Amino acid sequence: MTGGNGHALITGTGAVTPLGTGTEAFWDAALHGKSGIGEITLFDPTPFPSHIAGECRDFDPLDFMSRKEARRMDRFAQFGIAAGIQAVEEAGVAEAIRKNPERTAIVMGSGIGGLSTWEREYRVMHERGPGRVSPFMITMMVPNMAAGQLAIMLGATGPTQCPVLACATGGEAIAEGLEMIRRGDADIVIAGASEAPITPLSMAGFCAIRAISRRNDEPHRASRPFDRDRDGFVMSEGAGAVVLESPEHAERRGAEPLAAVAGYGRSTDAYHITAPDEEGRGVERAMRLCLEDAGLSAEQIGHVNAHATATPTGDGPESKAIARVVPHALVSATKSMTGHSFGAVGATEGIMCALALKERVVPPTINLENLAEDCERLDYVAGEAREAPELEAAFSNSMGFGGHNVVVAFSSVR
Amino acid sequence: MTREEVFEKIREISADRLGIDESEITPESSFREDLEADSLDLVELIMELEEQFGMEIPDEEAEKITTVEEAVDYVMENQPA
Repeated sequence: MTGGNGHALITGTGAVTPLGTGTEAFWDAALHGKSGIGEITLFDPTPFPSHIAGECRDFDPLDFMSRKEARRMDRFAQFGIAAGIQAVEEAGVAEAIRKNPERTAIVMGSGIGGLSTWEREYRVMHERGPGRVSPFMITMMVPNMAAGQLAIMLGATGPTQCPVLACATGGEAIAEGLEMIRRGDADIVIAGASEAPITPLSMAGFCAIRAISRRNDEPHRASRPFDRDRDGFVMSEGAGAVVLESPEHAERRGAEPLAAVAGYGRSTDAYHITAPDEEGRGVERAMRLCLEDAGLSAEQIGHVNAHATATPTGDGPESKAIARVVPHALVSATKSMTGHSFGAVGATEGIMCALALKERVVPPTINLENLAEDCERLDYVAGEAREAPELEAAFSNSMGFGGHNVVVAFSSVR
Repeated sequence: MTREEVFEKIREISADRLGIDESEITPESSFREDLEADSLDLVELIMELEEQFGMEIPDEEAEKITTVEEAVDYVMENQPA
């Protein structure tokens, strides 16, 4: 970590995912190649072409907040708060935040915000009149409310932000968290993203785009990044959050970091609203900018957690870009297990990168049985997790509708 | 509805909306002081009373309701026949 623009240390993590709530459960399931995909239970999926999703079934908001608090929050905010609280606990920074609230920042993004609240209250207005719309509707719906509520619960009074960048939101949150540390805005940043998009309206919309897998009879095998028979992504939900600290702050309190956020690179395709540039030039540029920002060489990147959603149009271009920048890297497409939680996914995948560096093992790409012809021949870690004893640094790639590319570099602290 | 029934109903609604135990709610309980309701909670509670008791509570009347007992009084006086 020399020659870059400065790093931040990750001292805590928190996750709510279809593979489990809590980083440990999540990571353990990922290393065992488990699928978090199943038949939708949050609403009746019968009228929709796709009946499957990755739901956070073991999540209970009351493990993290009171019943009153839970009632005033959309599911996406509950996820974000849960991830943030876990990260703060793991890092052991609650006391440091209490002592120095103005030096604690929160960057908690969401691609969509409180969609289920919006759908419910819209129905209330039409069926029962405007006077029956909940006074909590606005504060439950706006996407910045996971950040706002988390600040209230932690008493953190530094700056807050809510990146909204579709499926690149989580990556952007971690990048912005790093930048806040670099700028000296805060000593501690809780950075992450959350999403709860499994609703009838969003399912209808994504089905209309023809971007969603319809492999209803085999939920565990439905999310198939880089595979010949992939037929779209599987929607999921959840949140991820990390505690970032300036190296000085972490050292002062004797914290044991998991890994470092070394740098980031960002670009925009300026090409199409849903399809990435066919040659993956945007994400390639983001990877190269990230190397420069982090002060890392391409050879040092031993692992890529690919964006790889399993759509027919998305995986090929990203594989080409990876082949041009870091052809030797172990490439994991963990959406094969978690599904695609849109804004949140860059945060949970960033956590996987940090844990891969800490434990020197990379999670697998499941359901990759026959490499698709349009995807480059890379080492996709198909089927089973792989030991990576020499792992020094990793990329977490995120690409969002709108053509947004965010690549975050994580590096080992050993 | 009898006064008892109205109180029971309001206690049930308040407990649910404010996330507190029914046993903590007495007629003397102040929504703001004792039950820790904020302005948004009060708006929601009033809407719920309107819904449950089939009445309209104008804002200027709603502002006068500060305790559980006052809510019970209002409902008793304005119940639809």
